[in-house]
Amino acid sequence: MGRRLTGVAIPAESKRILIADGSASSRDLLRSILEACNYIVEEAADGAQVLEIVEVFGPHLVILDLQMPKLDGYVTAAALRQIPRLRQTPIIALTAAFTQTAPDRISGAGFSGYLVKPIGPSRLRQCVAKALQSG
Amino acid sequence: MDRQESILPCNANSAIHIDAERWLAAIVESSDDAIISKSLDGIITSWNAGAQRIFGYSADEVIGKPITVLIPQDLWHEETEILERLRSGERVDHFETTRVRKDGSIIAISLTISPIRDTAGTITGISKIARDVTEHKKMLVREAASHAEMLAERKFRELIESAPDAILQVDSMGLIVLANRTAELVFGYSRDELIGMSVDALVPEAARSGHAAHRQAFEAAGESRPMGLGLDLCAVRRDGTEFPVEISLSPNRTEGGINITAVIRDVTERKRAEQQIHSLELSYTAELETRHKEAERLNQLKSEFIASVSHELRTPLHTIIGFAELLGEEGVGSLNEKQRRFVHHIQTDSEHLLGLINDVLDLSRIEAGGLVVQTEALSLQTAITEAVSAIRPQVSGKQIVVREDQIPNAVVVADPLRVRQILYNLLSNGVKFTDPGGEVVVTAIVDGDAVQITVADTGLGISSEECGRIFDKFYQVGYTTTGVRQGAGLGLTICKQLVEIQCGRIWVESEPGKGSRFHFTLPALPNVTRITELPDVNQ
Repeated sequence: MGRRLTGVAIPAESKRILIADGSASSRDLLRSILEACNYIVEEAADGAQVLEIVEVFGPHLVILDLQMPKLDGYVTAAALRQIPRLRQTPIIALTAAFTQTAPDRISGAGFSGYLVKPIGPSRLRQCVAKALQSG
Repeated sequence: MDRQESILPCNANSAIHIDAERWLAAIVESSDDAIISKSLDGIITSWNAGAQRIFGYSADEVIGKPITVLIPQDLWHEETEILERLRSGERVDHFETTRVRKDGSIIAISLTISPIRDTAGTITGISKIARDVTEHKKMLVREAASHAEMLAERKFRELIESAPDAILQVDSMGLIVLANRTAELVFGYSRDELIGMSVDALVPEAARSGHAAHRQAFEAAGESRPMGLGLDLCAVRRDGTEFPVEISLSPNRTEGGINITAVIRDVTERKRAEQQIHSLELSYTAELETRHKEAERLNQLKSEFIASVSHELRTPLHTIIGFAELLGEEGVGSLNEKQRRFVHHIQTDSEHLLGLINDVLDLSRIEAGGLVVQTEALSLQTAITEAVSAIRPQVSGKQIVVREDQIPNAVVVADPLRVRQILYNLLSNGVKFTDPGGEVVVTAIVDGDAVQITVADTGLGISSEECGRIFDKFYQVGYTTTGVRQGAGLGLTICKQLVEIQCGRIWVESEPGKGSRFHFTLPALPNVTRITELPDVNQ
């Protein structure tokens, strides 16, 4: 799928990205954009699912929506930081409501950065590439 | 004597006549009243012992002298008038006047004057009986005075009795010597009990020990004054209950030393009223507080609602915009011409919808007071350059030039995010209303402690009438160059709010057909125009 895409470097070794969002369409969007870039994508519908699959999947990057059912993004991020393997893994927050987004709280929960919805393909690709480089 | 004959009933017997004369003379001599006779020309002709006692002259001294020696000079006219009346045959009875004694003292006398006639009935002289009424007069005056005194005393008593305040008078030992009716009612003692009682018994126990000293101090000062100014005074009734009072004191000097008169007002009712007012005030304050809290709660709810709406609206828009963009990239498959156009419509309209949602939410937050600007030192050049590059995608393919011109090296104190929003809104408006071939230019000047930023376009312009309303909520100026109304009419309202929240002001100059110039100011840091390199505060 991603082969038709030009201008974006295809990574030599495919990185694994775990995306967690309560909205199925949003998950599909993110997965479609990222798979086009040859990333290996796994989905979770809430924070609890993230914690279930994260150890097996071993992601290079985690993207968590802040407003999720069961465990929200903040709690999930804090829980992920407790797992030794994920201590250095970049975790990106997604938020639909900038008004609710306090940058201090986001970084305090262990996130490496955040993206405010709506998130178009180019912004997501840039952000992910940058996060994986630094991670 | 013929004279006597005229007075006494005539008797032919001379012995009896002589006896009668002696008898009469004895009466005259023994009278307490002065009995004087005088001739018609006012010369004294007889003078009895009573006259000597009253006037101080002996008979030898005054017989043959004019009567005027007895009359104060200013009353000489009286004598003339009396003579007139006598000549016409009248008597003068109990004529009250004053006379002069030999020693010069003035005495009050009552005169009875009658003419003396001879046997033929001709008036030959005048008899005068004078009674010294000085003492009598004095007595009358004394009586009148004591009556007046009694009346005054009664009036005073009544005044004290009927006074609405309790009145007590206390002697130097602190014993009550006077108490009125109200005092009986207020304190619950009878007057008999109050009189002779120590006033300290009416003072609550806690204050009793100090009361005697206060009394003595007051006596020493000797001035009328309210008692315990600024203190809440209480008195105690016979049954031991206490009640609030106001007391004014005044000293009275008596033979036995200084007495103190105390006027005591029972202020129970007034205090109760004050208490009521106070509790009303408290309840109003509580009510106000409750309402204030309720208002705050509602405000909080509103903020939460806005946040929630913000989330709910953006979530589906996020995927609409994202998928439209993804389709438009044709990474998942090529689109034909029609499909490409349709996807473009989805993209632009969903972006437009996002803008509207953002505007409405921004304004709601500003009005709810929930918008907090985070000001910092901000490079003017950086802010403007960023805004200009952010607007460029909107301009692509429109043949409109958007550029910045001669931006001074200034530092403004502002919220970077909000400055970008203001500039973006103004630039976006400029682009919307400018025809192809026109341009939108951003300039800025430093003006004292502020920076004035101008966004000028070569577009349609605004009539002066519209200039006044352009910052109103939901106001929209005419049609854009593409012939459609765009936006919710909130952009400039938000700009105005955002500028004012950052201590600046915003206004517009325009002429239809010649374009518009939007100006706004922001506070600048002083003396920083020379600083060439600034940290990029927007990171």
